[in-house]
Amino acid sequence: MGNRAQLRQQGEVRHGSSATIVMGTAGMQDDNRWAAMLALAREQFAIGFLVFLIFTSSAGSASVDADTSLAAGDWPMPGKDYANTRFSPLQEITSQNVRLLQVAFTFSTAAPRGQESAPIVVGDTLFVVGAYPNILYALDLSKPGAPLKWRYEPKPAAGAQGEACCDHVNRGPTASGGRVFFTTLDDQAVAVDAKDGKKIWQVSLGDYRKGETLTMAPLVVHDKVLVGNSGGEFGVRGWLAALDVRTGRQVWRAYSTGPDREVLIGDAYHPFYAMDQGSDLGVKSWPGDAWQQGGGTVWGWISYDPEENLIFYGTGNPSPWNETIRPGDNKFSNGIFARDPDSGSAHWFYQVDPHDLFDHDSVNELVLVNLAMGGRERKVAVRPDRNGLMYVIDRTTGEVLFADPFAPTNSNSGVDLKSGRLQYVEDKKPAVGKVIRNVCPSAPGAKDWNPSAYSPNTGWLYVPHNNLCMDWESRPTSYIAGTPYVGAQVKYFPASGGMGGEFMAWDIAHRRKAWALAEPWPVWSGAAVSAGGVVFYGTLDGWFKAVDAANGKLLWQFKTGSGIVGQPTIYRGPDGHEYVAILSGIGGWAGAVVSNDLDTRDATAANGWGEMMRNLKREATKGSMLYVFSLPH
Amino acid sequence: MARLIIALLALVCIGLGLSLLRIERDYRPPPGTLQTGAQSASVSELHPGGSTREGAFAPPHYRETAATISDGESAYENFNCSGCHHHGGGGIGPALMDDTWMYGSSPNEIYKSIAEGRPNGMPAFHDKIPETALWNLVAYVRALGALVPSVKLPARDDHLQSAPPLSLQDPVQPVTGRAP
Repeated sequence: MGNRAQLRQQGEVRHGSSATIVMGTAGMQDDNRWAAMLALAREQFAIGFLVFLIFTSSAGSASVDADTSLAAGDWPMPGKDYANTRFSPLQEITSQNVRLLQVAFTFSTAAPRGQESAPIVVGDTLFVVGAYPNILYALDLSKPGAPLKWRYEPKPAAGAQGEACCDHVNRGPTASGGRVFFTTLDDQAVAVDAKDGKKIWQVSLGDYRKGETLTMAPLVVHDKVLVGNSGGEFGVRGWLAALDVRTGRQVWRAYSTGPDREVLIGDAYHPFYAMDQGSDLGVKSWPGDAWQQGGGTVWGWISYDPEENLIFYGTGNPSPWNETIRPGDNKFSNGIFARDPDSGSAHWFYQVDPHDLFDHDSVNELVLVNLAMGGRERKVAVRPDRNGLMYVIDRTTGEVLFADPFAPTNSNSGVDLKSGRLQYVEDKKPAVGKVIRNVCPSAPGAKDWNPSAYSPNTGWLYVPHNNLCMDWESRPTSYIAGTPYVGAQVKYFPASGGMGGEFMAWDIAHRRKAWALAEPWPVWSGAAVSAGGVVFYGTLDGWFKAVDAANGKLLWQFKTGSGIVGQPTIYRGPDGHEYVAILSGIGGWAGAVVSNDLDTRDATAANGWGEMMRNLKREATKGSMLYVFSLPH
Repeated sequence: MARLIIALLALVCIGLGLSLLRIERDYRPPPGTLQTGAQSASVSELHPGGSTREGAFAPPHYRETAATISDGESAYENFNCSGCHHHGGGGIGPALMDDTWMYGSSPNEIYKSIAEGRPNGMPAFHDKIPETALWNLVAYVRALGALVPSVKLPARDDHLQSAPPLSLQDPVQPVTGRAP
């Protein structure tokens, strides 16, 4: 299997050369280091500079809540920390010894659908939530075999299974203050006591019968649980809500469309670009009252900067996919909000894809790092976007500093940094009744929801992503509450190179790939990286892989029982040893072909995956197993 | 002789008359032989008493013709069936072009699935789709599943090629029910 994922050198990239200007990095030997640096300096944005990255995550900036200030060995939320780094400082498992990794224990979540969840660990307990019916399990890490400590069954309504666009997934629980929070497919947010699994509160936040579901992992900031909705393929109106951690009572709810008072836009709102300025754009940038079915759901990742006291998150695609039905910029879909977590009031918004053409939800992770350039430190958010561009955005203002393509892209020519506007390519714009061929990236994008990891030791972002293009035909559609509101017929296929996916290291400072691994299938799992210099990710055909953070070399791999669409977790057990955990259970949008027994003779099955996934059933079967690995000890 | 014939005829008439006067009584049907029909397709395969389940009859007006299938295809798009089942391959909802039918493949069972919904996520469309269109949908769904003779099926589609033409499908032996 390792032979199929070969290391590919990216053009003129010199491995390790960039490490000379990344703080705290032991770079690889490079005889031409100085020459390489000069060459790079010429190529880069013309600032006489030294670029370096300083790692700032919540590890260094304690939150008010005691639990999220993190013991280094814990992994209390899917993103590991508020900066969404998915970086563990643990060093027991290294690039030297990772080849000895072996199974420590396993556990079944008994829900054979897409396991997109991240196991989380606080102290001596591991918490894991499965796909629908979203049972939360607590495993006792202090005992041999990590036996089940308790379980909590939220009993979501069965009908919600028919209202979830992309399999019955859940993206993880989060722990804070002795409580564990998670969501259910039928729109409930739940808080249970971490000690005994007793319910503290369980509240309903929406109506699944209208196509609204909850799949995202909550984030706790101060005394609030933040959670948003899914349903952009059902004409749902997107929102992010803040609930009181003690009672579940809603403190605020910020909609992604509609009048300013419901989007929580007020005096504090200062978007960087003119295109995002104005009043009631959430109404005016839509025809008629189309904003009421306008999408902009909030189902991805939230980052938090305690110094600025701002949260950052993205909004999903406008509904429907067929863009001819919704002339206008369709605010505030497909963009990034910065908000005050206490009041919810918006500070800035940047629309990544004004009038989205291709279902390019702008919900991917925003990894918070500090970038020093031109003698000045910029607090930035790094975002590998569905539209194929790697954004580096000043998170205090919303200004786009760079947006560089990281995957085959022919439907846009980048961002006009003056206006902030994405430049669509005219030839690739959809038209009703016309099949537009070879549009890159595809609807699932150059990279979908599955999160990257960032190592402060290399300054690189480790990105699991797709390598796909598509054919697209816009079709008439009508809004029927509770049914899909899409209006497009699409099919996906591999982009140049012939492989469906790629796992790459992106050098943020030098704005280029450091290395990349070709993967036959789209990479639908998240990534995690450790101070031991090892990066973990999984594949749809079931391999859990450890690669060298410095050069991408495959160091170890293990074939799990099903395909992997989950998120790796690195933690220190009560015995002081380092462990790596991953859920194996194929599904999600890309894996629904297997998890929902689809028939791939239909190229448009699962909204376009039939063709790409034609043979996936030969390589993977359903599953729902947690695997935890450690070194022999 | 004529009197005898008249007498016999009179007896027959009296008999017929009496039979008409017979009091109508409902018999309780023996267990397991419940009458089938539009109202009785059941979701469960289990039948206490081990009866044979007599499928489910479509109403007399149900037709599987090129016209009804074509109308059904329009309804399939217009009522967003394609949003979940796509062009037979499935997505949010199950595939319709394979041999697996969770709730049965007879016209009446498919009708019930569409009209009344199913508990794991199939919405009930009885108040959304007119009766005629609903039965046409049934015909199209059965055509997707290769349960309709291929001579009745259109050979090509004017849109993005999604699946092989319905007329080229191989015949299938439908199976009811599906493992999770």
